[in-house]
Amino acid sequence: MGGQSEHYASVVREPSEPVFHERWERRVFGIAPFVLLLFRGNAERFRFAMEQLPREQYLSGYYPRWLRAFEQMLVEAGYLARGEVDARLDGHAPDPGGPAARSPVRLAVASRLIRANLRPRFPPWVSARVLPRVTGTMRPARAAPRFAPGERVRVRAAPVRAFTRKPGYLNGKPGVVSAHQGAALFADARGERRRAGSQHLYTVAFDGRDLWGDAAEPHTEVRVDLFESHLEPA
Amino acid sequence: MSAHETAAHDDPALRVEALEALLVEKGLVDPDVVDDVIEHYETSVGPLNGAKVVARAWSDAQYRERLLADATKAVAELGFGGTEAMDESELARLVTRDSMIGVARALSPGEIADRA
Repeated sequence: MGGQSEHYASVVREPSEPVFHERWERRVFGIAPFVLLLFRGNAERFRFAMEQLPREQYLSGYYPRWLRAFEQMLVEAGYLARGEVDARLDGHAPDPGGPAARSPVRLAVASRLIRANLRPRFPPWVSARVLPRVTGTMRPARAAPRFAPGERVRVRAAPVRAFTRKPGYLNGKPGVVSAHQGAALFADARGERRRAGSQHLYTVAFDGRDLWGDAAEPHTEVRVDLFESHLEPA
Repeated sequence: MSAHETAAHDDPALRVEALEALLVEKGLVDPDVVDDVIEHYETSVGPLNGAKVVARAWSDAQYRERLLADATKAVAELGFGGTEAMDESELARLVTRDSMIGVARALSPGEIADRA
Protein backbone atom coordinates (compact mmCIF):
# COMPACT_ATOMS: atom_id res chain seq x y z
CA MET A 1 0.00 0.00 0.00
CA GLY A 2 2.58 2.56 1.10
CA GLY A 3 3.87 5.06 -1.44
CA GLN A 4 1.33 4.23 -4.16
CA SER A 5 0.61 7.29 -6.24
CA GLU A 6 -3.16 6.60 -6.27
CA HIS A 7 -3.14 7.75 -2.61
CA TYR A 8 -1.25 11.00 -3.25
CA ALA A 9 -3.11 14.12 -2.20
CA SER A 10 -2.25 17.70 -1.38
CA VAL A 11 -1.07 18.46 2.13
CA VAL A 12 -3.67 20.34 4.15
CA ARG A 13 -2.18 23.14 6.23
CA GLU A 14 -3.89 23.58 9.54
CA PRO A 15 -3.30 26.84 11.44
CA SER A 16 -2.50 26.26 15.14
CA GLU A 17 -2.40 22.55 14.55
CA PRO A 18 -2.69 20.65 17.86
CA VAL A 19 -0.05 18.04 18.77
CA PHE A 20 -2.82 15.43 18.85
CA HIS A 21 -6.29 15.76 17.35
CA GLU A 22 -7.95 13.11 19.51
CA ARG A 23 -7.26 11.93 23.06
CA TRP A 24 -6.80 8.32 21.98
CA GLU A 25 -4.07 9.34 19.49
CA ARG A 26 -1.93 10.24 22.49
CA ARG A 27 -2.08 6.68 23.81
CA VAL A 28 -1.02 5.22 20.45
CA PHE A 29 1.92 7.64 20.38
CA GLY A 30 2.82 6.94 24.02
CA ILE A 31 2.98 3.15 23.70
CA ALA A 32 5.02 3.44 20.48
CA PRO A 33 8.45 3.61 22.19
CA PHE A 34 7.67 0.45 24.19
CA VAL A 35 6.55 -1.46 21.11
CA LEU A 36 9.48 -0.28 18.97
CA LEU A 37 11.97 -1.17 21.72
CA LEU A 38 10.63 -4.76 21.67
CA PHE A 39 11.79 -4.79 18.04
CA ARG A 40 15.14 -3.13 18.81
CA GLY A 41 14.00 0.12 17.27
CA ASN A 42 13.65 -1.44 13.80
CA ALA A 43 11.62 1.37 12.22
CA GLU A 44 11.80 -0.33 8.81
CA ARG A 45 9.98 -3.36 10.16
CA PHE A 46 7.30 -0.99 11.49
CA ARG A 47 7.04 0.74 8.09
CA PHE A 48 6.80 -2.60 6.29
CA ALA A 49 4.12 -3.78 8.75
CA MET A 50 2.06 -0.67 7.87
CA GLU A 51 2.50 -1.26 4.13
CA GLN A 52 1.21 -4.82 4.49
CA LEU A 53 -2.04 -3.86 6.24
CA PRO A 54 -5.31 -4.56 4.45
CA ARG A 55 -6.40 -1.59 2.34
CA GLU A 56 -9.17 -0.36 4.66
CA GLN A 57 -6.85 -0.47 7.68
CA TYR A 58 -4.04 1.30 5.83
CA LEU A 59 -6.38 4.07 4.74
CA SER A 60 -8.08 4.40 8.14
CA GLY A 61 -5.78 7.25 9.25
CA TYR A 62 -2.31 8.04 10.54
CA TYR A 63 -2.53 6.75 14.13
CA PRO A 64 -5.02 3.94 13.41
CA ARG A 65 -2.39 2.71 10.93
CA TRP A 66 0.25 2.73 13.70
CA LEU A 67 -2.13 0.88 15.99
CA ARG A 68 -2.89 -1.90 13.49
CA ALA A 69 0.79 -2.25 12.58
CA PHE A 70 1.79 -2.57 16.26
CA GLU A 71 -0.82 -5.29 16.73
CA GLN A 72 0.40 -7.13 13.67
CA MET A 73 4.04 -6.99 14.82
CA LEU A 74 3.18 -8.06 18.37
CA VAL A 75 1.19 -11.03 17.07
CA GLU A 76 3.98 -12.06 14.66
CA ALA A 77 6.53 -11.93 17.48
CA GLY A 78 4.29 -13.89 19.87
CA TYR A 79 3.66 -11.12 22.39
CA LEU A 80 -0.05 -11.21 21.57
CA ALA A 81 -2.22 -14.12 20.51
CA ARG A 82 -4.02 -13.68 17.18
CA GLY A 83 -7.42 -12.10 17.83
CA GLU A 84 -6.52 -11.21 21.42
CA VAL A 85 -7.40 -7.51 21.04
CA ASP A 86 -10.72 -8.37 19.35
CA ALA A 87 -11.52 -10.82 22.17
CA ARG A 88 -10.82 -8.12 24.75
CA LEU A 89 -13.08 -5.69 22.86
CA ASP A 90 -15.82 -8.32 22.88
CA GLY A 91 -15.52 -8.54 26.65
CA HIS A 92 -13.99 -12.02 26.82
CA ALA A 93 -11.88 -12.87 29.86
CA PRO A 94 -8.11 -13.14 29.27
CA ASP A 95 -6.99 -16.53 27.97
CA PRO A 96 -4.87 -18.14 30.70
CA GLY A 97 -3.08 -20.17 28.03
CA GLY A 98 -2.07 -17.02 26.11
CA PRO A 99 1.41 -15.50 25.96
CA ALA A 100 2.86 -15.06 29.46
CA ALA A 101 3.79 -11.79 31.17
CA ARG A 102 7.32 -10.49 30.80
CA SER A 103 9.79 -9.94 33.63
CA PRO A 104 9.39 -6.69 35.61
CA VAL A 105 13.14 -6.09 35.31
CA ARG A 106 12.96 -5.87 31.52
CA LEU A 107 10.01 -3.48 31.77
CA ALA A 108 11.93 -1.31 34.25
CA VAL A 109 14.93 -1.17 31.90
CA ALA A 110 12.71 -0.24 28.94
CA SER A 111 10.95 2.45 31.01
CA ARG A 112 14.26 3.92 32.11
CA LEU A 113 15.61 4.02 28.56
CA ILE A 114 12.45 5.70 27.27
CA ARG A 115 12.44 8.31 30.05
CA ALA A 116 16.16 9.05 29.60
CA ASN A 117 15.63 9.45 25.88
CA LEU A 118 13.03 12.19 26.39
CA ARG A 119 15.68 14.54 27.82
CA PRO A 120 19.01 13.29 26.54
CA ARG A 121 22.02 14.69 28.37
CA PHE A 122 24.98 13.39 26.47
CA PRO A 123 28.25 15.05 25.51
CA PRO A 124 28.37 15.91 21.78
CA TRP A 125 30.87 13.19 20.93
CA VAL A 126 28.42 10.64 22.35
CA SER A 127 25.55 12.16 20.35
CA ALA A 128 27.68 12.38 17.21
CA ARG A 129 29.62 9.12 17.30
CA VAL A 130 28.18 6.66 19.80
CA LEU A 131 24.39 7.03 19.62
CA PRO A 132 24.06 6.74 15.82
CA ARG A 133 25.67 3.31 16.15
CA VAL A 134 23.92 2.19 19.33
CA THR A 135 20.35 3.42 18.81
CA GLY A 136 20.72 4.22 15.12
CA THR A 137 21.82 2.22 12.10
CA MET A 138 25.08 3.93 11.10
CA ARG A 139 27.81 1.29 10.62
CA PRO A 140 31.12 1.59 8.76
CA ALA A 141 31.11 -0.16 5.36
CA ARG A 142 33.98 -2.40 4.32
CA ALA A 143 34.24 -1.12 0.73
CA ALA A 144 35.21 2.41 -0.23
CA PRO A 145 32.34 4.66 -1.40
CA ARG A 146 31.57 4.12 -5.08
CA PHE A 147 30.39 7.69 -5.71
CA ALA A 148 31.76 11.10 -4.79
CA PRO A 149 29.98 14.42 -4.28
CA GLY A 150 29.44 16.16 -7.64
CA GLU A 151 29.20 12.86 -9.55
CA ARG A 152 26.25 12.23 -11.88
CA VAL A 153 24.24 9.12 -11.01
CA ARG A 154 21.02 7.43 -12.05
CA VAL A 155 18.50 5.70 -9.78
CA ARG A 156 18.24 2.03 -10.67
CA ALA A 157 14.88 1.13 -12.15
CA ALA A 158 15.33 -2.53 -11.23
CA PRO A 159 12.27 -4.00 -9.52
CA VAL A 160 12.68 -4.10 -5.77
CA ARG A 161 11.69 -6.79 -3.34
CA ALA A 162 8.64 -6.39 -1.11
CA PHE A 163 10.03 -3.50 0.92
CA THR A 164 12.15 -0.51 -0.10
CA ARG A 165 12.91 3.00 1.10
CA LYS A 166 13.62 4.07 -2.49
CA PRO A 167 10.78 6.33 -3.66
CA GLY A 168 9.20 4.89 -6.81
CA TYR A 169 9.00 8.30 -8.53
CA LEU A 170 12.82 8.30 -8.74
CA ASN A 171 13.12 5.09 -10.77
CA GLY A 172 15.48 5.67 -13.70
CA LYS A 173 15.91 9.39 -12.93
CA PRO A 174 19.27 11.17 -13.20
CA GLY A 175 20.69 13.17 -10.30
CA VAL A 176 23.89 14.54 -8.81
CA VAL A 177 25.45 13.31 -5.57
CA SER A 178 25.42 16.28 -3.22
CA ALA A 179 26.87 14.58 -0.12
CA HIS A 180 28.21 11.29 1.18
CA GLN A 181 26.48 10.57 4.49
CA GLY A 182 28.62 7.70 5.74
CA ALA A 183 27.29 4.17 5.78
CA ALA A 184 24.25 2.53 7.37
CA LEU A 185 22.58 -0.86 7.62
CA PHE A 186 20.60 -1.40 4.42
CA ALA A 187 17.04 -0.37 5.29
CA ASP A 188 15.37 -2.49 2.58
CA ALA A 189 16.84 -5.66 4.09
CA ARG A 190 16.05 -4.65 7.68
CA GLY A 191 12.39 -4.09 6.81
CA GLU A 192 12.11 -7.64 5.46
CA ARG A 193 14.15 -8.97 8.41
CA ARG A 194 16.86 -10.18 6.04
CA ARG A 195 20.50 -9.90 7.11
CA ALA A 196 21.38 -6.26 6.47
CA GLY A 197 24.93 -5.34 5.59
CA SER A 198 26.18 -1.78 5.75
CA GLN A 199 26.03 0.36 2.61
CA HIS A 200 27.21 3.84 1.76
CA LEU A 201 24.45 6.41 1.92
CA TYR A 202 24.28 9.51 -0.29
CA THR A 203 22.18 12.61 -0.59
CA VAL A 204 21.28 12.94 -4.27
CA ALA A 205 19.89 16.12 -5.83
CA PHE A 206 17.28 15.87 -8.62
CA ASP A 207 16.10 18.62 -10.95
CA GLY A 208 12.31 19.00 -10.69
CA ARG A 209 12.03 18.94 -14.52
CA ASP A 210 13.68 15.51 -14.60
CA LEU A 211 11.07 14.21 -12.17
CA TRP A 212 7.89 15.93 -13.39
CA GLY A 213 8.73 17.48 -16.75
CA ASP A 214 6.91 20.70 -17.62
CA ALA A 215 4.55 20.21 -14.67
CA ALA A 216 7.41 20.97 -12.25
CA GLU A 217 7.52 24.32 -10.51
CA PRO A 218 10.50 26.30 -11.85
CA HIS A 219 13.79 25.99 -9.93
CA THR A 220 12.64 22.94 -7.99
CA GLU A 221 15.38 20.73 -6.61
CA VAL A 222 14.55 17.57 -4.67
CA ARG A 223 17.16 16.00 -2.42
CA VAL A 224 16.75 12.40 -1.35
CA ASP A 225 18.99 10.13 0.73
CA LEU A 226 19.61 6.88 -1.15
CA PHE A 227 21.66 3.77 -0.52
CA GLU A 228 24.51 2.86 -2.86
CA SER A 229 22.70 -0.16 -4.34
CA HIS A 230 19.85 2.15 -5.44
CA LEU A 231 22.29 4.04 -7.69
CA GLU A 232 24.33 3.45 -10.82
CA PRO A 233 26.77 5.71 -12.69
CA ALA A 234 24.96 8.01 -15.14
CA MET B 1 -20.21 -11.02 14.83
CA SER B 2 -22.84 -8.34 15.42
CA ALA B 3 -22.75 -4.91 13.79
CA HIS B 4 -22.19 -3.49 17.28
CA GLU B 5 -19.08 -5.65 17.76
CA THR B 6 -17.68 -4.76 14.34
CA ALA B 7 -18.03 -1.07 15.13
CA ALA B 8 -16.19 -1.56 18.44
CA HIS B 9 -13.37 -3.38 16.64
CA ASP B 10 -12.86 -0.46 14.27
CA ASP B 11 -13.11 2.33 16.86
CA PRO B 12 -9.47 3.35 17.41
CA ALA B 13 -10.20 4.84 20.85
CA LEU B 14 -11.59 1.54 22.14
CA ARG B 15 -8.98 -0.45 20.28
CA VAL B 16 -5.94 1.36 21.70
CA GLU B 17 -7.48 1.17 25.18
CA ALA B 18 -7.81 -2.60 24.84
CA LEU B 19 -4.30 -2.97 23.41
CA GLU B 20 -2.72 -0.83 26.13
CA ALA B 21 -4.58 -2.77 28.86
CA LEU B 22 -3.33 -6.07 27.44
CA LEU B 23 0.26 -4.82 27.16
CA VAL B 24 0.18 -3.49 30.74
CA GLU B 25 -1.13 -6.85 31.99
CA LYS B 26 1.65 -8.62 30.12
CA GLY B 27 4.31 -6.38 31.65
CA LEU B 28 5.26 -4.87 28.29
CA VAL B 29 4.13 -1.28 28.90
CA ASP B 30 4.28 1.05 31.93
CA PRO B 31 1.29 3.44 31.71
CA ASP B 32 3.05 6.12 33.83
CA VAL B 33 5.86 6.28 31.28
CA VAL B 34 3.26 6.48 28.49
CA ASP B 35 1.86 9.55 30.32
CA ASP B 36 5.37 11.06 30.52
CA VAL B 37 6.01 10.54 26.81
CA ILE B 38 2.71 12.22 25.91
CA GLU B 39 3.23 15.11 28.33
CA HIS B 40 6.76 15.69 27.03
CA TYR B 41 5.64 15.90 23.41
CA GLU B 42 2.60 18.05 24.24
CA THR B 43 4.50 20.60 26.32
CA SER B 44 8.29 20.47 25.75
CA VAL B 45 8.76 19.61 22.07
CA GLY B 46 7.48 21.44 19.03
CA PRO B 47 7.26 24.72 17.16
CA LEU B 48 6.25 26.68 20.28
CA ASN B 49 9.88 26.56 21.44
CA GLY B 50 10.98 28.29 18.26
CA ALA B 51 8.19 30.83 18.64
CA LYS B 52 9.44 31.69 22.16
CA VAL B 53 12.93 32.37 20.77
CA VAL B 54 11.57 34.60 17.99
CA ALA B 55 9.32 36.51 20.39
CA ARG B 56 12.28 37.15 22.70
CA ALA B 57 14.34 38.40 19.73
CA TRP B 58 11.53 40.81 18.78
CA SER B 59 11.30 42.29 22.24
CA ASP B 60 15.00 42.27 23.20
CA ALA B 61 17.41 43.83 20.70
CA GLN B 62 20.50 42.54 22.51
CA TYR B 63 19.11 39.01 22.50
CA ARG B 64 18.47 39.39 18.77
CA GLU B 65 22.16 40.26 18.26
CA ARG B 66 23.27 37.23 20.29
CA LEU B 67 20.83 35.00 18.38
CA LEU B 68 22.21 36.13 15.03
CA ALA B 69 25.82 35.77 16.21
CA ASP B 70 25.51 32.30 17.78
CA ALA B 71 22.06 30.76 17.65
CA THR B 72 22.99 27.60 19.58
CA LYS B 73 24.22 29.60 22.56
CA ALA B 74 21.31 32.04 22.38
CA VAL B 75 18.62 29.35 22.38
CA ALA B 76 20.44 27.62 25.25
CA GLU B 77 19.79 30.76 27.33
CA LEU B 78 16.09 29.86 27.11
CA GLY B 79 16.83 26.28 28.06
CA PHE B 80 16.68 24.77 24.56
CA GLY B 81 19.21 22.56 22.90
CA GLY B 82 21.84 20.22 24.16
CA THR B 83 25.55 20.23 24.56
CA GLU B 84 26.49 21.06 20.97
CA ALA B 85 29.39 23.50 20.66
CA MET B 86 30.37 23.24 24.33
CA ASP B 87 34.10 22.92 24.95
CA GLU B 88 35.65 20.17 27.03
CA SER B 89 35.81 22.12 30.27
CA GLU B 90 32.15 23.14 29.94
CA LEU B 91 31.23 19.51 29.27
CA ALA B 92 33.24 18.33 32.25
CA ARG B 93 31.24 20.64 34.50
CA LEU B 94 28.01 18.90 33.49
CA VAL B 95 29.19 15.68 35.03
CA THR B 96 29.46 15.94 38.79
CA ARG B 97 30.99 13.35 41.10
CA ASP B 98 27.46 12.36 42.17
CA SER B 99 26.36 11.78 38.60
CA MET B 100 29.46 9.65 37.97
CA ILE B 101 28.58 7.26 40.79
CA GLY B 102 24.95 7.30 39.71
CA VAL B 103 23.26 8.91 42.73
CA ALA B 104 22.39 12.07 40.81
CA ARG B 105 21.87 12.93 37.18
CA ALA B 106 24.33 15.00 35.17
CA LEU B 107 23.52 18.71 35.05
CA SER B 108 21.88 20.28 32.01
CA PRO B 109 23.66 23.08 30.09
CA GLY B 110 21.20 25.61 31.55
CA GLU B 111 22.07 24.54 35.07
CA ILE B 112 25.78 25.23 34.74
CA ALA B 113 24.96 28.60 33.17
CA ASP B 114 22.92 29.37 36.32
CA ARG B 115 25.86 28.50 38.55
CA ALA B 116 28.44 30.40 36.55
